[in-house]
Amino acid sequence: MSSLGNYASASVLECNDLIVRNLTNTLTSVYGQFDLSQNVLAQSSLTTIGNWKPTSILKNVAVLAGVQGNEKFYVTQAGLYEVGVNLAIDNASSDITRCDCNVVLYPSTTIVGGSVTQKGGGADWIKETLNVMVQFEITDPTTQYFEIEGRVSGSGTPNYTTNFTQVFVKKLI
Amino acid sequence: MTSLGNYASASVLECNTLIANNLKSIYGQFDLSQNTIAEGTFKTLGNWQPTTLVKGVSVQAGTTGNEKFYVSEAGVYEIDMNLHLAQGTTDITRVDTRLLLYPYASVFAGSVIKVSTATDMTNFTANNTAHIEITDPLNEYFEIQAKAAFTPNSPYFQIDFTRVFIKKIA
Repeated sequence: MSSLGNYASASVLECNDLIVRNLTNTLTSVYGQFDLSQNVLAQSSLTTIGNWKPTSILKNVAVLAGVQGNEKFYVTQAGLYEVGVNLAIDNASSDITRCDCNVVLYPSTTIVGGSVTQKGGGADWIKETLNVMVQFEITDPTTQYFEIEGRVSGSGTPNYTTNFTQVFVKKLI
Repeated sequence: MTSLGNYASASVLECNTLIANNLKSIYGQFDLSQNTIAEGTFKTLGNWQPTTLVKGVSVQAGTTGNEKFYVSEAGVYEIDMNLHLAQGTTDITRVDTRLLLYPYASVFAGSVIKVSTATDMTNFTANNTAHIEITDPLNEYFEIQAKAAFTPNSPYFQIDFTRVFIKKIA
């Protein structure tokens, strides 16, 4: 039984090592941070935001070209995902009256989460940073992707600015 | 040695699967089942309904509706709250949200926004994330509370962007 004990002990260690590697791989293998490559002019109607560029924090997530630019976010694995969006809006010295941010899952065109803030024209509101955190399931990573939509109402020409605008995608399960 | 090798291999795989599944097994997303009126004093939000993304989390009835969130295992949890308040054309001047852990009624996280009446705020989406430890899942649960100041009509928490997502992180 001594030798069996030794073998059992070895298998436990091997098991432990495998579990750690598997969990590390499973829980961290799909993630990606994307920044804007340039300031993007905001529209007053809901419009997909393009111009996303990958950062060095990236594994198994890609952004592909669409109508507006680099806008279609694809992942390589099916699973439950969390997407955090930080959308920094700057309108110079003019007033913003409303800003929206949606996360839209395609090809079903399902709005899986979003944020709305609206104020009157006398609000002296010229900067806003919207933060949206959404969770959704990807069952077919070859055909499903998501996009970020935004709109800003008000006078002037508001922009989504490169400083604080980013998207972070991570697989939860 | 062959049989021992087989047993070791099988146990490794079984152990691996069991532990991996165990660590990943608790999460839940809940939406509002209907628009819910906001009040001027803190009130627990009821009317939560589970979505298809639920495993090991449930919401149970309380004073105002389906409001008590229970999890099935002890651990550290992250709770993401997105509360969308809309008011049509009249002013919201202040919005408070918070997460309370019961049975202690401890406030664990929250957010406050307050503007002057001149700003005509008619839509606002509060998003914040809380982290809590559940040591006794049979007796501990949490609720989401909110209040809003407004004039003259009552704003609603809207079904479109109001949701709670719970996940076990440790």
